[in-house]
Amino acid sequence: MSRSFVVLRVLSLVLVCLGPLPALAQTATNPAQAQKFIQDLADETLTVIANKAMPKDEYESHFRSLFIRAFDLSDIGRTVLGRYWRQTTPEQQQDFQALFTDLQVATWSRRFADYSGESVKVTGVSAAERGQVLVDSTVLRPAPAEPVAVRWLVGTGSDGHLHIYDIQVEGTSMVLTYRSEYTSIIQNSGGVDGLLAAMRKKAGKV
Amino acid sequence: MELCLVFEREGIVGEMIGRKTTLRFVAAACAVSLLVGCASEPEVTDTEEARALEAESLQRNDPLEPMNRVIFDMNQSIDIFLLRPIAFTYKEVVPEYGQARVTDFLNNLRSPVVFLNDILQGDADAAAITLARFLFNSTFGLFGLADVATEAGLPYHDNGFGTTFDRWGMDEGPYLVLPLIGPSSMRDGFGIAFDTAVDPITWVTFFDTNGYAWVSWTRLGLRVVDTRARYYDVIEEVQKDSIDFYAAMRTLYRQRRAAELSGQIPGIKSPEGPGQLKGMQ
Repeated sequence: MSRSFVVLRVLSLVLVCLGPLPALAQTATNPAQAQKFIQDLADETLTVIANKAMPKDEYESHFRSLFIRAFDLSDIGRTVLGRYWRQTTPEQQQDFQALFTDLQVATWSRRFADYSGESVKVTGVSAAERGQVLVDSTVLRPAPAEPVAVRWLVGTGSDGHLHIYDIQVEGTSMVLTYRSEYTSIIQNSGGVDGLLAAMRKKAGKV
Repeated sequence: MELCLVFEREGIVGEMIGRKTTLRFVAAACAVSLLVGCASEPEVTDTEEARALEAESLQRNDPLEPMNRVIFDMNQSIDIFLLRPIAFTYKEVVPEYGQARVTDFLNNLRSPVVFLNDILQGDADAAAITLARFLFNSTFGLFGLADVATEAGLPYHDNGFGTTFDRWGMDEGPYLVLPLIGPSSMRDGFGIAFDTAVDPITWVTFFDTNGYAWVSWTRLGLRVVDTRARYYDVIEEVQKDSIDFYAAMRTLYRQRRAAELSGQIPGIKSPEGPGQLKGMQ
């Protein structure tokens, strides 16, 4: 086997690998659609929350499905684990994604339970990396509480639908915060299994 | 990596291929399988990797973590037994209006420090606003109890040596948890020390001969309660939501401070100021 043959074979393999790459580029997200997506989603969520007559079980399952539809949780979970994602087994990844989803749903469901007449007003949009867009909004709260500026990172998921990829409040990013906290737990408490144990404990599933 | 093994087996089966070539082939195949590994996970893009590195450098700026964690735990104990109950009671007992008066009063007392740092940063406009606000609020605003200047179109902005050092090009330095004060950095820690040193109200304590030391101690006490009460809900939320409260507070402090300094959020403006949403648009 000649050297040039090896080179050729490697090269063809590389080309095969590179072949699908252009298709990997994220679909550019339409800014107007993203704005409408956030406004509609906020309005729908607030309607669900405001309906205090809904039985608790029904509310929770409704909220969960709404939440899972709105966020690209598998992408967010991967981003949160960062470089550790590729060091985990498929089982660990599955565990992580399930626990992360449960924790997120629980956290946000609890936050929204304190609902007292807030409303969301989309105020603008700007381009972000990966063809995603940042939707600016103002969360109006009943006086004397001040309005809060919230930014939503919106992108197109592999399913072709719009999803939320990050929430930024007062200069802090939800995804960066979880990533920083979770990777710190991985480093301090025995790797990914340590993190999973801590998450399981947090989710009350020990 | 499975791919790598497959190629290795192929290489072993094909004995006619020289050992050297096999090795080279295996090495190349491994390199390729790494590429395949990348390609089969389309989500991990370059920007994501860049964000990962950015996040890790953000996170790792804590060489003093063991010491910081000890101080953090100490602060937590003091908080649970003293500051949190006081802040809770303060929020329950004092009406919102009264709390706002305390915040305005403390902001007004900080004017000399803000003014000096406006000057040190060469921002004459900001300095003029700070001076005008101080004169206005100290008189018409009843010793600063009411922030009438903001209503007259001169909103409050905070300033201090931490920000000045940043403007002078000083790096934030390692993350630092200060006793009683909480999350900070080497630069911002020095900033607080300088702020305190140049503050006329501090001088009252150190150079006082007439028994006016209580003024600065009262101010300090009020500041602690006011600050803890204003962050009450946020801290509760982070504590409930986090698994590692220390790590969560560390990244939140650093993200917020970076956003403040880069002007992304007008953090060096008062949270009550009308310019609150400016940076987000």
